[in-house]
Amino acid sequence: MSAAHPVSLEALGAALESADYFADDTVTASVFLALAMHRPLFCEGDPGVGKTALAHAVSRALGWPLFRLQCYEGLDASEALYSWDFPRQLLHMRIAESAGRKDAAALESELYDRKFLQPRAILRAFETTPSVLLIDEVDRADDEFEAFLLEALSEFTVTVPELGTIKAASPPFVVVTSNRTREVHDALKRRCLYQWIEHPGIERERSILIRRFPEIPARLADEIIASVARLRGAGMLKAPGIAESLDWAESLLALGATTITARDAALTLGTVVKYHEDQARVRAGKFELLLP
Amino acid sequence: MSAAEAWTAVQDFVAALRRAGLRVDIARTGMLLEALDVFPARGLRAVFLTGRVTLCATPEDIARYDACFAKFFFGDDFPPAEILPDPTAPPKLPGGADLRRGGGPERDDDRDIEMGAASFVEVLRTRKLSTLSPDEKNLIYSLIARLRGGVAMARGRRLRAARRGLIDIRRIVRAAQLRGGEPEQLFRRKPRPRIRKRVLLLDISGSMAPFAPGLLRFGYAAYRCASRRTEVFTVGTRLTRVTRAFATGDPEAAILAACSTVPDWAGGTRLGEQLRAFLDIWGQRGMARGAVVVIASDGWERGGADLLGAQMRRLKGLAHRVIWANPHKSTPGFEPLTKGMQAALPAVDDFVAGSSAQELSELIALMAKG
Repeated sequence: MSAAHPVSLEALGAALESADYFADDTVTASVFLALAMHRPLFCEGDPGVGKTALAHAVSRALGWPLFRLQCYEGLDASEALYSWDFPRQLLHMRIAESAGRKDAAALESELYDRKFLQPRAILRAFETTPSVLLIDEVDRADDEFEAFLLEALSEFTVTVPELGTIKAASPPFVVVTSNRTREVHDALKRRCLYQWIEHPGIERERSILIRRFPEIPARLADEIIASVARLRGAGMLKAPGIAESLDWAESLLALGATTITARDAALTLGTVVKYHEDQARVRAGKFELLLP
Repeated sequence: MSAAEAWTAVQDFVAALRRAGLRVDIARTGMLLEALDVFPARGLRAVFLTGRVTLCATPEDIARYDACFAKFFFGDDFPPAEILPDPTAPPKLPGGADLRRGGGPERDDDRDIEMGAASFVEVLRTRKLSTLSPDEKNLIYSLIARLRGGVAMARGRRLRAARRGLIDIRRIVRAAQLRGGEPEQLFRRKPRPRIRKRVLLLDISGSMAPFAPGLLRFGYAAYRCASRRTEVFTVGTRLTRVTRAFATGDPEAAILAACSTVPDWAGGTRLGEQLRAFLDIWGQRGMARGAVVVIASDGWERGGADLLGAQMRRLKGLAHRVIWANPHKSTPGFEPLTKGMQAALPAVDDFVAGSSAQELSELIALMAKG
């Protein structure tokens, strides 16, 4: 595990590329700054442009373990930080009872020992140095959780009342992603560096396709990229992201296609257009949006 | 371009962003400085990238930022699309165009922005508070409020167990009782050191007006170093104790609370009278005894200098150490000629400056010396 992070933008870009992530220089710069300034990186962008993938790529590129916290409505601090292992505590009591121990006070204090603490993603990331902490889709969690997150991410400490304060030896690299289904509170954003991730340009998308599927025929790759770009400009309910391009390429390759025919398009429609209304539109247009 | 000029350019750019509708607050500007400081590359592209990631908060901001950046540094004839997608090529500048709108010396090379970014803050740290623009003031004030220093220790009255020192008869006897009356070990104890009291008297009269807000934040910083042992007063036409107002966690709220307790901003000074009031009401009863006392004032005295001199001698007799901080001291050619200053100096242990963040941080360190 390498503890040091790259000293130059070029080195970081190369490391990300070797982890199969083709970053443009705005992304490389923001990752570099987040590493150097120990600030969380707040990533927004359309679904499927590679926000989550960025955290995974940094983790692979630097060889730092990744801890992921998937947010959802009702997520609370105990699921993000730690919880006490109640069954084991109970078992501990039973064993002590059967061993005939009577010193109640000592027993009680044993119950809140480190070994009964179950660390969750944030605490684990703080305890592992270096590490990458991915807080995914923070817009799905509620306001209270944001406030809590603000506290945890500004000091990089977690306080367990029974044990004391646990501080990260060096702050983890934190990526917070949001799909903008809800506007995240400004206070949280102000703690973070902000990165808006764009859909990849044609060249970058080609690089990504070829890296993932080295055997892909050049013609097919071009056709996929052109069709996806057309879909993105067509005002779909859900514009396909890079994730959809990859799924589509994979299924077309599985069908043995070297160029996109109407039949292939019909068979693989579900991998690239994922809303019924959008699919109906593509079908009504006799798949012209997908065909070269 | 010097660091100071580069800083001005960045400030102008931030102002342009604000006009374009970005909500760039002081925290974000601070973040930009920090980012420029650690960023490994230099040049316009570096400014572009660091600003984009620190000053924006929504995709709409990004679009505005891109447009504003192009317009600010390249003028109207360069659509953003032409410069932004190409990260490597140096930006083409139209002949003789100013990098910065609104004049200034001509800059025709993007290396001009190759500023020692770290030195922005350094430059500001050493500038006199009275010469800063409002934005710079905000930045420096928050820096001052976060200054921290050690504390001077003094011998306390209570005793604690120690290897050397006075014999602890009680403990020896208590231990002996458990051993059938046999004293096995000789216990000792010695005084527990405690933090020396600190008193700050901050002059907020008219002649000190440019420095008063900074001094108040300095008072807050000193208070935070040892909140139970520090007392802060403001001195003008009246003496006001602001210590209580500082007892919240938030510096700005504390400053506001302190301001609202001060009735005489920028009035005249009757330093001698105020010092007498302080000594009569608080100082002689104990607050100033054995304390490190800091007086921040320019020594402009409307009352008689004799009164001030007498009260200073009285203070000297009570306090452990008297520090006088005069913001004009670091001005070249300064002589402590005001009558008040002349009268006070014989009773002062340390005569220091304290007009910039740098000098204030030296002052807070000086307060920690025994």
